[in-house]
Amino acid sequence: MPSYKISEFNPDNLASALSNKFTSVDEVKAKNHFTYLIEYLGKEKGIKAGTILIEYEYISRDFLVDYTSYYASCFDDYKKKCKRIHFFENTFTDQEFENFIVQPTGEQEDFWKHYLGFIVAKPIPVKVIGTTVLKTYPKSESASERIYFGNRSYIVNLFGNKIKLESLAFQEQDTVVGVCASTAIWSMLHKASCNSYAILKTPSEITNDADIVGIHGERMFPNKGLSINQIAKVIYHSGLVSEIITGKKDGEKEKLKNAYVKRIIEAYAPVEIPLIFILSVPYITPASEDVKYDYHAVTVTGYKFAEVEAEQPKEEISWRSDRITKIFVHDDRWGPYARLEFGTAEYRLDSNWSKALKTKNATTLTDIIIPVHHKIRISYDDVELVIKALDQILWLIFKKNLKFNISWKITINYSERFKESTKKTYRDPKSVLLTPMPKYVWVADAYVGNKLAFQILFDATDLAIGMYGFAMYFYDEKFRDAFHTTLEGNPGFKEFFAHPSKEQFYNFFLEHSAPPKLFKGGSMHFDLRL
Amino acid sequence: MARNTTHIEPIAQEGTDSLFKEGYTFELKTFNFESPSMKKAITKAHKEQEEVRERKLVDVESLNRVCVV
Repeated sequence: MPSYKISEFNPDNLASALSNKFTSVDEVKAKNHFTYLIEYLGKEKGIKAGTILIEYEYISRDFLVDYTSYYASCFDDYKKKCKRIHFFENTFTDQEFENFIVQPTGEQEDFWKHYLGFIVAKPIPVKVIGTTVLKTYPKSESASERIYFGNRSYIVNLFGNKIKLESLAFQEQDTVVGVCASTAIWSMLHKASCNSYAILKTPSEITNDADIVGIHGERMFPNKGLSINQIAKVIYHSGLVSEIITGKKDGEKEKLKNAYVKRIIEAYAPVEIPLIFILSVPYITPASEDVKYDYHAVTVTGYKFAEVEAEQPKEEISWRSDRITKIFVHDDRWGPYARLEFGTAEYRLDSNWSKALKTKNATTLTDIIIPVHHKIRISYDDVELVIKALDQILWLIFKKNLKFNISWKITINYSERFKESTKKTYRDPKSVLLTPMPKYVWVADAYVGNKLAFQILFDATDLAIGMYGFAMYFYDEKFRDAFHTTLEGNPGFKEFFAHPSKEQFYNFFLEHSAPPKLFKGGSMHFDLRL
Repeated sequence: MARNTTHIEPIAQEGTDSLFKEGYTFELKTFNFESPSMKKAITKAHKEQEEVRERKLVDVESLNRVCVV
């Protein structure tokens, strides 16, 4: 048997490559994944695949563990070896390919830059899409930008050659060792395990970690789904802890507002651990024409935002995250980097689930699970409530005297990365670089229009009932002095903070906005205007 | 309580002078925190923060939602 086969990328060849003795070409073509992948890989809207290369006799570690935990003990003769289907943008013959792979490393870069990634085709019935690592859409377009915070580097070994690719692994649920939640956690762990404190596990290991029985006492294998509680347990067993945000009932269903969801995504993206969203998705079963809704877990891998024009000052608080137009999720029932689009509606999300129905029923987000390092104890909401109080104070001080509206961006980050960023923004950043800081800091950026006016740092490892403000850095002297003087002359502003440490928060903002000669908050004092 | 941190002197960046509308000069305003309008502003601030606090509460029932699709 040859070790590989090259063919043109087209629907028939892809369906044939994914098929196996349990799954016909027509059954492959009937899958949502197939429709999705043809578009994602296609020339018109996708990443422009031109060639398919099938690598036979491929051992997939993920499938091998699942195979030994379930398929090996079946009576039917399931194989343990997979096919790996590679995609290339360019076209080439067998002879040209063999000429390239024998060239010394470093002399083949022109060839591998056309590499688009791979799909492992599993030798099981219907649920054939195994580990999939595919290139993403370009990061920048004319007036918008894509942030793939869930991506990591993969080294793909192919016939003695190493190819580097930025992506995040995807696979579809097999409905045996895991369903959507297990595969969503598996994708998340692919990125989280780049950190030494998190452990990568296979879908069957993930399902095993969830519990000994399901929430109604049923067996865990074949798996029928995980609850949010069980997802949190798996995350804990993988070296992380979970922040859980649950939607409250609004009408008939629980749901989270889109504007808040955008803030959460932007807030947690810098620590680069994918979030898990629980969606309420509409679908039709083969037995009925009625639209059903069920809960479905997906992994959030990135988002897209567009620049917007600065607004005039207004009393209501504004957020930079309102610029986010869509998010990218690994949806194991469709494919990698599937789009969830925010419309103008307060709750509705447009997904492949909604688009697949004639009635276009809405998809909604019911819950968010945020896997984080255990030392991140202050949550996004802890910071937002302080910022909401401060924003009202700033409105009363400046009203419409500012040229543009103040808008906020709240993000969690490693303090080391924050320090590194100051090399670009401060003329002489060494005072910041030399300041001892906690491992994680929340950073609240206040923009006036599109200009950064000041930043507030919060200690993310602190207590929520205490005063967790850490530092303030101003970019505009006139703004700082007006803020400080008004705050100093009006101690009553502390009443705006509905917090047990309201006096300490007032004192923090007062002291950290003081001109250097009056500043009493620290022993180190720098004048950066050298 | 303020932390023992570095205080950064503002850095004049190109264009940051234009944060304020033309002709703006700073005058210290003293607010009467007992006035109805300020009491209303404080109540509004508290209400918004209360909404954030309520959002932090996990709905226990939701923890048993099973992702089945």
